[in-house]
Amino acid sequence: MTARRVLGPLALIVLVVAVGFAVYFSGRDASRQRAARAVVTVRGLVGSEKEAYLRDPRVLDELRKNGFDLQIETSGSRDMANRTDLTSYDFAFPAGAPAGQRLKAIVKAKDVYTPFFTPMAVASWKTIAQILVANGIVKLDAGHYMIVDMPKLIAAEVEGKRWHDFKASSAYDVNKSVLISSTDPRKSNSGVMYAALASYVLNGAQVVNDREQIAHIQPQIDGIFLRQGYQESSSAGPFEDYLEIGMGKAPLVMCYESQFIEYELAHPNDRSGDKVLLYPRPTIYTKHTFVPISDHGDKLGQLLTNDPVLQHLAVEHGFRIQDTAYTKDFWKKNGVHVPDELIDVVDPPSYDFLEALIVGIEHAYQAN
Amino acid sequence: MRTRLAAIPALAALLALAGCGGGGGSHAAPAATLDVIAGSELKDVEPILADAEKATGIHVAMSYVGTIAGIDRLVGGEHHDAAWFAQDKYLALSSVGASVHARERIMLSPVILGVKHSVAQRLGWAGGKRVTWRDVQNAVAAGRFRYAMTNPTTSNSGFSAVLSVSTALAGTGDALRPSEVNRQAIAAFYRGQKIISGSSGWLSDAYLAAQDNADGIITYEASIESLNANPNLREKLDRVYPADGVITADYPIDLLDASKRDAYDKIVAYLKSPDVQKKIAETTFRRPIDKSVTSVAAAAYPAVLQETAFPASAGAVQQLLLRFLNQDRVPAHSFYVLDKTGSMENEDGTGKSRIQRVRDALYVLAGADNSLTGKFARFDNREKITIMTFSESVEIDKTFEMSRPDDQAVYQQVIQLADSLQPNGGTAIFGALETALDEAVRDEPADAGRYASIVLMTDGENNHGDDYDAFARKWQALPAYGRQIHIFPIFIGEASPAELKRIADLTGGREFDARSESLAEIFKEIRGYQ
Repeated sequence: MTARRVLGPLALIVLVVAVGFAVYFSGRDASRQRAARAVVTVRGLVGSEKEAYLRDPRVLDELRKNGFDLQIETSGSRDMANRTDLTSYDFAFPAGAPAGQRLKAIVKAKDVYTPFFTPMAVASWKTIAQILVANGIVKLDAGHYMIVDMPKLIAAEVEGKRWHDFKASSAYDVNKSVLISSTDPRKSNSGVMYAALASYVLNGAQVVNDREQIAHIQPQIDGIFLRQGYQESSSAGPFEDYLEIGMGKAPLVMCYESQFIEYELAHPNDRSGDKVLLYPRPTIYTKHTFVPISDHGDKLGQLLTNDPVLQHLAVEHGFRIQDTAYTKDFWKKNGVHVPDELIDVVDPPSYDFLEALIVGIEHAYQAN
Repeated sequence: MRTRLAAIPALAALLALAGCGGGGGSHAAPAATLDVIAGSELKDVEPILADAEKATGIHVAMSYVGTIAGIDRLVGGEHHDAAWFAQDKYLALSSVGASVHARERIMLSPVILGVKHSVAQRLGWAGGKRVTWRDVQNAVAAGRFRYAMTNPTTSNSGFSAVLSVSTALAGTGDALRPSEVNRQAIAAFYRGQKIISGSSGWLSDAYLAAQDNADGIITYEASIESLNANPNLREKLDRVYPADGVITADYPIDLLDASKRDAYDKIVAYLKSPDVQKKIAETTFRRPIDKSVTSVAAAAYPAVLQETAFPASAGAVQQLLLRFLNQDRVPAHSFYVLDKTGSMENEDGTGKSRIQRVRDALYVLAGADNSLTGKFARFDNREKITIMTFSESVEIDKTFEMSRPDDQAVYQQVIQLADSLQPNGGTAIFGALETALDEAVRDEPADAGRYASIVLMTDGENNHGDDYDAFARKWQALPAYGRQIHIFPIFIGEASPAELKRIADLTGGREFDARSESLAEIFKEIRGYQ
């Protein structure tokens, strides 16, 4: 009896104090947020190659500080343009200027932003690179990185060369065709960029700019895609084949330089030198194009482009930004050896011609 | 003193209230359930999923099904939060492909050969020698290698093997197109298949039960290692990795319901954590997806495997499989021994009589089902089909032979036969089986290497003629050919599961329970074993 009478008031005091604390803390939290400014939720469609960056807690924190709560869904860059629900999003963030331009026209965006970019590259293996060096297709440049001669490599693909046809190929003595693995160009930008690069090479080092040129090179372009067989619909797929299944599945993988650098930065212990990145010459840039759909989307696009914290975090995910001095310095400090600048960079064909090329590949798939 | 102590739980309760919504304790009900449609061989990760629930609070509810049947269900609109199969390429190529929101690979296992050590030595394949599919095909053609393999139309391991060997024998160096299949070479290769199964799990059991009938098994590396750890295996299997290409199952989990993203991310992160990856490698013999994880099991596997390319389209996959069924495989002689006793009129509360369920199942095999599994389940070109019905004795006994794919003449006759079934009479199961076996043995010379099997469907206990013991004695006296014929009993109604299991065990078959499942689906499933 006595105990209960004493217990009652005491418990009540504890309760009051505890509730008081809870109220105090939640109030403090709210006022802090108000001080920051009201947080709005922004929703967007993004290409899979930017997913790790846009889900990085540090990126989300910085965005929240600036008033944005980010929600993303991934989508193939080319698929975005075919969606009927685009206006329900605040922005679309595809890979590649062609998809960006197309979306810009569809949503009638005033401006688009290019917060960062990355060159196309070919992830490969030391064993494979050595064979390609012996056959004059790859050479070491400036002692650090490897250049792959695209006209020669694509010629080998088109003529149906097998790995065991190469000289000095005993370390990869197989009857498989020499083909770069890529994503499905009907769905994903990295496959489209490969098609763009191949079209430039097959068109005699000229950007295709009429239907006749396309008709002429289409069968060869179709072949280097269809002969690969099943292709993944996002750039993460073939790069995972490369990392997880290895050389037997993926001797040569068309990828974004950013994917390789992102992996290297995240795995400082995996620097055995077995994995090598080949830089195509000529190469092509993927400009990650941010297309605002709402006003909030537009502000987010500006922020991603101008906020130094967000820009520097992009470098940690392997992307190149305008501030080349920072990029160079950061990668060097972290043991990532890549060329500061790339020479011989070509433009993709204009949207209509590129689209014609992809539609041609689409028809070839249907007839397959 | 007492009061202070009493206050602490009160505070703790308050704090717990304030903290509600945070990660729940391990004893509470799960924070969320992830409903996953999964390949049947994934039953071996159940212990790991139980640990995952303790660690993450997410309960993973697995519904097991074969890969192609699973895709049929998803295409048909069945809802699942996620799909987890040996590979998701079939899925990606189907209409469900567009609703995959995320995919993460969990573990790997290539489809390779497990060869009895003495055979590997004899063939010069032991000690990691370079072996190609062409070498395997040559050994088969010379009668020096007989193997067990699953049916490629129902099981991923069989499909992977068929794709690898077909691609290698076509020799184009590219992803295979159905028109490029080297028909002669591939038909010779299939003649070495002595044990067939609808799933990789049952294939291992069938191999253990009939080790003398084969020199090896074509299946997952993980299944071979699992067999090697089985005390009932009489001779160790050497792993042989064809140098011209294999297909590695990569077990991706595909997120199908975007609202389950959180639960999905947690489960994937758990399964990909280094400790769990190591446990997967050590308990399931699959390779970890995380290459930095080392385990005794995975360390014994070669690092580089040549991968066979997967076809570019769903159409190419289907053509390849239909080609296998209708043209290149060893044709079957499929016996259907069907109960038509009086009790087959019962509806078991389903609104449909048992005999009507049998009719429906026969319609499916005669072309009425247009789903993917339905197309693969139809009677194949070159197949011989014997349908017997019995009550106290065998009544109808008709044999049909398909002379082209989708042979409408045969389909029509089967449909007419199904329509004519009228229930009456008592049940003489064993007498009917004896008749079927005698006919199969009688037909052996004419069947020239056909793959014979018997499906028995019954709804009651044997009450006429021979009993099990008399049947077993007659079975023992059969020639070797007859004793290799598997019997697949299906039971509905009042049939005795125990007695039918004895028949399955005796003959190396497998029993199926249609009391609560569609008979047509079971007929389809059994096609994988014929």
